[in-house]
Amino acid sequence: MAFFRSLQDSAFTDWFLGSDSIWTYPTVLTLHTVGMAMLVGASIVVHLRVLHVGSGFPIERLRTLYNIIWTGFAINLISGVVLFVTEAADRAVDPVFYVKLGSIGLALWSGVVVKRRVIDRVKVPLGAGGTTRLLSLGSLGLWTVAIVAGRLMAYLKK
Amino acid sequence: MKRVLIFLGLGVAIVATTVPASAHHSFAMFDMEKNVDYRGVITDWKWQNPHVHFTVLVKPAARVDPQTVGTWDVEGGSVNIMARQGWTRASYKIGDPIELVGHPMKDGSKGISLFYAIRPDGSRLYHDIARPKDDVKKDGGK
Amino acid sequence: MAGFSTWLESTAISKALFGLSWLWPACESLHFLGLCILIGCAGLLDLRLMGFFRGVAIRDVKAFMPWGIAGFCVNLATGALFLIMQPHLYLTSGVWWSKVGFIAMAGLNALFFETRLSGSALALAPDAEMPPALKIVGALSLFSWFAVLYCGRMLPYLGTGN
Repeated sequence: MAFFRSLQDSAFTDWFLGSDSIWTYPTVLTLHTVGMAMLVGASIVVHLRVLHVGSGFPIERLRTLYNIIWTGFAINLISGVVLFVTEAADRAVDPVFYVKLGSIGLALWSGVVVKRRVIDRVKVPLGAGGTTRLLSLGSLGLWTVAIVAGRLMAYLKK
Repeated sequence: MKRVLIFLGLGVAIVATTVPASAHHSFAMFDMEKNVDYRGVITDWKWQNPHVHFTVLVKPAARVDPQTVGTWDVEGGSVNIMARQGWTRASYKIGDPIELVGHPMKDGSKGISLFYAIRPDGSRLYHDIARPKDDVKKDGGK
Repeated sequence: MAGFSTWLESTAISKALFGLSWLWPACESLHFLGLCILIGCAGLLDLRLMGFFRGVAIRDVKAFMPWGIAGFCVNLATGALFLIMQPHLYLTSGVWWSKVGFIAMAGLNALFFETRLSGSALALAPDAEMPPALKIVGALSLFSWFAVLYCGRMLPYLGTGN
């Protein structure tokens, strides 16, 4: 905890949050939104396809969308770490933050399992068909939870 | 298969229990119709995005409105917007006296949405571009 | 505009809606979800028009658009609610009007595509090279939606007034 407190009370945090330049906090926050649009937007398309939307779209071509998913995730991992540092002590004890991270982790994991099952056609010990659709449905739900949790965090700031 | 469903179910359950519990505290509202004048001393000063926050201690005194007495958590706007209105990190510091006009919480808890501060020379530091429709009593109110 | 904003904010409907403390945060969450669906589905079509996903028929990409439109409708509705609840944050903001401008740009671009180019686009062979007109339409659309996102997210920092 002392480590998180030292991050939140650091000179970097003071500069980053106190700067009136739009290139510090506002830009990092907006990058986080761009990353979200890429990560969740592309994931939504993948899972909609698995759930039979646009059934003429060749399912193996969804592979390209995973490049967008991982790029969006990378943007949000970096911007997210920066934002976390500035409120590290408050977030470390915030249950909603853990709900957000947990749902993101589960959503990404289910997205990878879906990819392996229907795009890579790798055998995984979880069955076939209906299970994949259930995973996609669950993934959509988890992304929803992640976004709601993210918004909720803004209202629980100290 | 069962493991997957259990994971997902757990996730949903966690959210379902967390959201109502936290919502109870988080979405309290300011009474935007009320402009109240507060005179006190800065006891905490956070010049930071996304919202500037400072606390003001209003002590009881002869001409002080009893409803304004106490320690108040004042919420301002973003650093960027407030800086454009003339605020700086150095506008106030802990221990400085401050007079401000703001909107208190509807539920009576000690929170204020900043409207403007009044400088010693009488000039106003607004939190944003919004301006008062009408003046507020400056003699402590009755 | 400032006068209209003051009047709107004084109406019963504005106060009633803003008085529901859960409504504003709920609209924010929906607005974020809506933008993800919109950018996901419209973005897919934009990328196809720009030449990515070669070999996939445009018809099969357009099939996602009803969902994209649904996302847009969610954001139009939540956006209208924000406007009614707190008009003073938007109506005098150059950043907000820029956002509206970019939405109009995306909309007009889409209308142009639907009425003038859609027929020939759908007739293209799936592995055909995309003609320049379609590439421009796709790129303009993708740019517009991200510009909308930028203006929206930066508004509390770039300014609510000019």
